[in-house]
Amino acid sequence: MRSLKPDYFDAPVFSHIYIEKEILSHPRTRQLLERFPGIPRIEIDHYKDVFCRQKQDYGLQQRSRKLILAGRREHFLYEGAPVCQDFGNRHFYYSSCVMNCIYDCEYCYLKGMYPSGHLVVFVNLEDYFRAVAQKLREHPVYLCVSYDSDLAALEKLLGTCELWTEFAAKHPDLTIEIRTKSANGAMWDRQEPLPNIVYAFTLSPQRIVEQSEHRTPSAQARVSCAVEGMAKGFPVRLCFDPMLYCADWQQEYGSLLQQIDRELEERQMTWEQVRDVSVGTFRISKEYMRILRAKEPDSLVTQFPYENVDGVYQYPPKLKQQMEQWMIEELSGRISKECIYHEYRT
Amino acid sequence: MIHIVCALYQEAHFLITHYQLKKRNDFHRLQVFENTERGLRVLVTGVGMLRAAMAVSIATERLKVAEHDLLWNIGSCAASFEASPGTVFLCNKLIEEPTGCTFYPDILYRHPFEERAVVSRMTPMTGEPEPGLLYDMEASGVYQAGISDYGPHRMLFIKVVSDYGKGTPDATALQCLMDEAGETILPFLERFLSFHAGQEQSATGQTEEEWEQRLVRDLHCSVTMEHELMQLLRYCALADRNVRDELERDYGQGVLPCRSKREGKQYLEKLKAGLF
Repeated sequence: MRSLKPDYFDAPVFSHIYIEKEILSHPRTRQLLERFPGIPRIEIDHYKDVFCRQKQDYGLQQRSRKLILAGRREHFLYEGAPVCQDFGNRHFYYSSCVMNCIYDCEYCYLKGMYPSGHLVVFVNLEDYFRAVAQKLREHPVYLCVSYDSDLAALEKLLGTCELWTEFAAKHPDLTIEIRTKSANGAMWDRQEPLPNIVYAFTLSPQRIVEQSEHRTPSAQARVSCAVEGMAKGFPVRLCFDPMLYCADWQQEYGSLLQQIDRELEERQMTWEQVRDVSVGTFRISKEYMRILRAKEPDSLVTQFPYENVDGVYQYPPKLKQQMEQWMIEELSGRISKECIYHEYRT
Repeated sequence: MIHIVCALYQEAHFLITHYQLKKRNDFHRLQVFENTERGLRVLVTGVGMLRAAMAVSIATERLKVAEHDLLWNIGSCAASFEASPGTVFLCNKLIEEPTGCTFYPDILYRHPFEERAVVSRMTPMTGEPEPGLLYDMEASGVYQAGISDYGPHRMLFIKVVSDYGKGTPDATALQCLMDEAGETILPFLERFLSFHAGQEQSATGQTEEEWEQRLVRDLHCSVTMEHELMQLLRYCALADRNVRDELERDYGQGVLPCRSKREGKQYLEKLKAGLF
């Protein structure tokens, strides 16, 4: 069925909307439903009734996406995972107000983590804000809000980044990272830059984008969008993480860096205007990798013979070090070393 | 293969005649009709969710389910809203009345039908039903019996309105109604059958598998080493890296087969290191 003609699949952005009965009258639910007139709506008791069914096909579901509107009842904040970079922040959390992503990256851990390819949107953002505000009473918080999705890519639809920005404006002790592969330049016009909202662009060479990051904007589009944001005063982080191996990876990543050089030069900007950069090669937990390999049997990235180091699959140590060191050296010639983050807690 | 579950022969008649399905004589608790060339099999199960579930279980166990097989349920139903008799609906929600459990088949394909939720009951719908719903007696049984083999994305539930809870049509009228509805259902089914006809599973070549097994033996692989080796070979195949020639050369030079597990492990490490 995977190779059924594309027109067999119900292909609009979302072909069906599942809605938890409890949040039917929530203003954000009503707002979202107005945007999708004429799409079948199915009432459900709990999002897990759809999202957690057994034996779902993530790949097929990505070709005919459903939107699930739900209310989060608990777990508004999670502590940052060891494989994630904390950028020197002691109180590192992430939150998940949307589950799943509209992009289709072959190596994405979400495929290993979630049983379904459908998109879950939790409409009760106010409860997230309350949970963060409570945590802020104890200590400053560094919060990644776009790990289990790509909120910037969904901004036009959900407006979540704008709401987080409004919240962060009132809480200087809160630093929010919005990680994205999108190239949504319109978001720069909808918000004011804040020092405590960091837009983190995951960048990959065009060859990797075409090979493994399906439905994502091109490398050039991402670079342009990131640089435009910087030009408008937004704090922008460039993430060369995950770096992915391909036969001529040095040349590919070298071209990517040159693309950024050119884009900055065109706007008469320098690397000093980049808030910081992160470097890391692909890594994923053993459990997620097992599922990912089953879901992506023909993917070069997932089928790479990684080494299992303490339950985390990663490139063989020599290759890992070679790739990361090369990138760090390249970046050191462009940006101060203090702005380069490459250690994660493994 | 597409397996279609119908409760009654009259509901399956349009499929049996259109595709010239032949009855199998080796099933006793259900009737099975099939045309293996077209990749279609119809199970006539008898009325009720338990019979439907039992039939799906028996058929699944005996006939084996291939990776791309589909399980459809086509049958008549009652409607608690205005809909002409013979209107075809695709069910996006199955509510099992006796237990209150709800199931959601994945609707992943374009289709020409209106969608509704269906309530599966133990007895035909009578009295004052909840408005806006369809009522049948099999869907939830088919779903539950099929879920572990087919998953929610390979099951479809197509229901044809035959009544409104105030008396059901007789056998002849039901067959006429379903035959007419078949004109809407058949083109949709045909799209899937055409696809399935062209979809032969490409099995891994026997020789390739034998060659890999020989390599496993000749490297004296442990289970972990075997996994590593297979992963390496899989990656090389995807990356168009021809390691087989290299290994054959080593066979020619007597480097392979290895003499011990230790030697095999060293060889595997060398092989990996040479690739990246």
